[in-house]
Amino acid sequence: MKIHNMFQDTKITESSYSLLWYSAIVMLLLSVIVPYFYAVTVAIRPAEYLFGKSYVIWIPPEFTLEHLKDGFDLVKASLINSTLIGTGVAVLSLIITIPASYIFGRKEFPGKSIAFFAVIFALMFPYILLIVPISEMWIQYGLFNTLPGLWISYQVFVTPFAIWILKDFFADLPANLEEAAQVYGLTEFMAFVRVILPLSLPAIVAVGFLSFLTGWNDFLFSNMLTTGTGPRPATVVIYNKVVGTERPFWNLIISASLLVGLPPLVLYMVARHYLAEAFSTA
Amino acid sequence: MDNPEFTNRNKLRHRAGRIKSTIQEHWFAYLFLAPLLTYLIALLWVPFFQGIWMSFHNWPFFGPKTWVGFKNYNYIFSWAPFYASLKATFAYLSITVIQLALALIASLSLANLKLSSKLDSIVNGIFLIPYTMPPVVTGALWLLLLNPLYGPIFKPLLNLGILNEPFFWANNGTTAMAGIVAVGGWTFWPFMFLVIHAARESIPAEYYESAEMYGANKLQTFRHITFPQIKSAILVAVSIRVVWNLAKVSQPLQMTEGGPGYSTSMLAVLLYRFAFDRGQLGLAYIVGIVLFLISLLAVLIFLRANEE
Amino acid sequence: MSDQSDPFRTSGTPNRISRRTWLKVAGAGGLTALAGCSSSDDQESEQGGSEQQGTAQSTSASGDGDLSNTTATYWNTINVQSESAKSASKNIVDTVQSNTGASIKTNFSTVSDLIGAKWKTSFRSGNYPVIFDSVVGWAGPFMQNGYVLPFSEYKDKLDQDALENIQWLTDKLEYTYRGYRKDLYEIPYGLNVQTGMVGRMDHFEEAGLSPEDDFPPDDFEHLVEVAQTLQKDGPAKHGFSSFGQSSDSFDEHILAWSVADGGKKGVYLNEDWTKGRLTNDSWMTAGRNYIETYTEHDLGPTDTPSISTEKYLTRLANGRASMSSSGFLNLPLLKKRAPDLVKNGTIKWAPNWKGESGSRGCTAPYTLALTRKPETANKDTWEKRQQVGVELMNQFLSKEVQRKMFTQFGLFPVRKDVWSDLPIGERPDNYLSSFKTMAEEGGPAWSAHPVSLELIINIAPPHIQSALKGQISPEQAMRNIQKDTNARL
Repeated sequence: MKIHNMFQDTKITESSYSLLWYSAIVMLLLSVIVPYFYAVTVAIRPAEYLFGKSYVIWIPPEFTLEHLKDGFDLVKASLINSTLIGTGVAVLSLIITIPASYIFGRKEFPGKSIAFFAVIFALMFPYILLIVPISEMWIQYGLFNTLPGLWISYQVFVTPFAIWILKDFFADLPANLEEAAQVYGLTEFMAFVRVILPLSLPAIVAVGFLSFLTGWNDFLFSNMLTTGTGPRPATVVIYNKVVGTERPFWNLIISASLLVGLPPLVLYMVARHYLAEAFSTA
Repeated sequence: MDNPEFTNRNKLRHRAGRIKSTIQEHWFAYLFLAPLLTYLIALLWVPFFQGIWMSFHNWPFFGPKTWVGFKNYNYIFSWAPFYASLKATFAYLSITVIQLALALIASLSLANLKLSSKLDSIVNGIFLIPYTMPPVVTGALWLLLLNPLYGPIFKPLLNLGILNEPFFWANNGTTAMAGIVAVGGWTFWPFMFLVIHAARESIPAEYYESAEMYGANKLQTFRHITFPQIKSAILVAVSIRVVWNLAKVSQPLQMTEGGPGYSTSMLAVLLYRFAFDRGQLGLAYIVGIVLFLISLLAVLIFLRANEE
Repeated sequence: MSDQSDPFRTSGTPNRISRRTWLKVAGAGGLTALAGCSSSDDQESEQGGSEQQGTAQSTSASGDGDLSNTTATYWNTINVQSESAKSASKNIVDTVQSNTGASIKTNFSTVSDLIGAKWKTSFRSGNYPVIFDSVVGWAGPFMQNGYVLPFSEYKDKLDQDALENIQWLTDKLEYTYRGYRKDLYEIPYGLNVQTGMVGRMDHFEEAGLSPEDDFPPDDFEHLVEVAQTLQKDGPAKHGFSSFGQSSDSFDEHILAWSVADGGKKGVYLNEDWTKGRLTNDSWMTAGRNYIETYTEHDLGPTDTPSISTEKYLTRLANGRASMSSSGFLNLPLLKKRAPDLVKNGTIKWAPNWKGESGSRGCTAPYTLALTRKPETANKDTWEKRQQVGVELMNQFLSKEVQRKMFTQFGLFPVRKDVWSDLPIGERPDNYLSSFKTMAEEGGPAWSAHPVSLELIINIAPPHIQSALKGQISPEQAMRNIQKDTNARL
């Protein structure tokens, strides 16, 4: 009798718990979907359906592509800049972090803990502090308003995180890979290149994507270190339109924003399973 | 042989020799470490100290830089808006709480519902969306949503008569902070979700099965199985987020420009305003130093907590 | 973006370089007047003829090849005013490009970039355009550091006809640059004025006031009287207001009232920029009046210490306020909120009262400036670029563009000979006629010293806000402002 009751009770609690979880998920999903849905409708509706009526319109009776077109015109040049910035940041970060994470993860050497502590310190460092001296330095070295200047400055907050992820990944690879490779006559360096690197592709891709996204999404450094005649990225253009104009034209701004936000969104989704693999070993 | 000088020189030579041989032995590691160390020194330490140097100067854009000693420090610490900024900084940290709450709810919901992997993947993906876009994009989005005159949240309130006149939330310090806190929480919680959920997913299913066998209810399961396993993930996520939240500038700046007055100028935003709007780099760096110390404190707290 | 009925028919003026200007440009060194070789008559305007679009054909074939390999850069900030200002800027650039054959790279920048770090950092590293637009005096830091070319050095290359017709303004404007040398450093192309009055005539009538006699008020005392009557007997809650928000609190009425009262003595800085004037009678009175509007006379809502002009004007449009000071550039806001009231003249504009000095508030021109050659640039190349810059200025000052200055940029044209083409006096809300009155009778307000911007953004607002909150007296606020200003001079 008791067991039977317990079983029944469990069922009821079970389903009410399930209801709880379901509603939590639905609420969370709605909190994400609803704003974006509205944004998309704003981007494709004529302006009068945003400002003109006295009530809020969720689905406009008419659609137009003019705002998307105008939005694209607004950001098209800067999107190229964003791409270039992101790519350069990613490439440079991989060059810096792959070797370092490898040895952190798999090699012992004197000074390792100090070096690693320095990396953790950099991870926790409020990099915003550095825009002041870096912009000064960049002017002196002629890196102000240049792509390389941006690539280098972004490493400040991209690399510690990348090392953190890659180090654990490298550490989790089977212990004797290098030895096995060296048996076959490969040097330490070649073992790294021929054996370890191919195996680490998922993590490397994940880190590359993350670095690219940091370069794409950032506003702070790129605003401080570029002017309109240099490699101004899309985020600065959006910011200027929102904050810099007297009367923001929201249809245009939202269209442009969605266009700027779409590539990183797509990239994240594509890179997701690489990311999951990398994070699960962290 | 007993001459101390001779011994000392020998010792030095010996030590130098040891260093040399160490480097030779581990040349590979040091080679691989070199790019990172170069970057750390050139891009972190050098600018860090350069900035401290700048903080002791009057550093205008045009014209000579003059040494002013502690004058900048005096100015900042006796400047009323600085304390408003400190207040704002701690107020803004409340987004960490929102982020954590949402992340936990999301992770636990997903874990408990055991959806099909396709559905699970889709839900995961949707959760991620706010985090993937540039903060200025999500900020622009919310500025429209929260627009007091024709945004979809306030306009119906006006129409229904709940509000008598447009509620310019950005005009009042408290509500402006509430606004950017809400949007900041909404934008960045997926990061915590990723970390926490990964930890949650890595808990072996057997633990839960045995818990069920032993008749543990949901709360007990959570306390004794789930929580201990994800505790360190939570700590890691929270501490990283605290440091990153402290450094958030673009989104709050875009939404309220640090105003009204300085009520939403967290230290990071204040730094930006000093550097960018007023062009006073020495003062900006001092604000940065304060921010750095606070971050350091947060990190130390995390390290202590992690050790327990 | 404005749907003003466009009475500005272009009269078919072909937009080409005036022959005389071009010949000077073509001559080596640029400044040599080839008086003997040129057919000296200016062949600029041909009245009548067919209507032409913005981009005109390039006519004089001969000289254009001279500038065709030149690339000039132009940093534009007026684009933040509106989408139509941005596209109008693009049109102007296109016209000059097709006229001269040169190519112009436009950087659509923002005002905050101009007054903040961006431009300064760029200028400092030698990275700057040959021409940029800004607001009068805000490029002070660049002038102070020798980046801006004084007007006298390119005066002859500008269209003389245009110059004659803006002389009424440039004469006034010279006062702005008095600390550098007696010269102009910027050319005005469009005008804003600070500040006018806006009022709801329906509220006036309901309160028993006379729209003819009581609006605009004749002076501050009259203003208080009218506003209090409106509050008491009218349908709205507020009869007038001050604005405590940082960007509005100082630059809007206080400056206008001070200049109205004291004329040149009412500006921020003294003659040689060694001291501020903020504690003289004009400023003290203006500051006191501004603050006491709220603290003594009970005018303005409870959020006055932080309210902005726009937020208050919204209330006026909604009927909760009856009268306000307002910059003329706020017309679109009123049109959006209360289009019918604007159309039928229920909401009326008026110029600020005429003060003791004979001025009504002050002029705030939008300007263009040329820059000096950077050290690393080639002399001849830069001179050619400057010529392109001059052509851009001429285009902004051309009758065609000036006629559309209001519809496209929202600014009042600076060329007096174009005013008769505007429908001044035809609008029921008196907008253009008020604008014109204030333009003509506005005093010079600015000092192109970098401290001016600091004054209105950083120095003054906190003290004004304290005074509005009742924490300090108006006199104390003005004294504090004076002290802080002097500390920076």
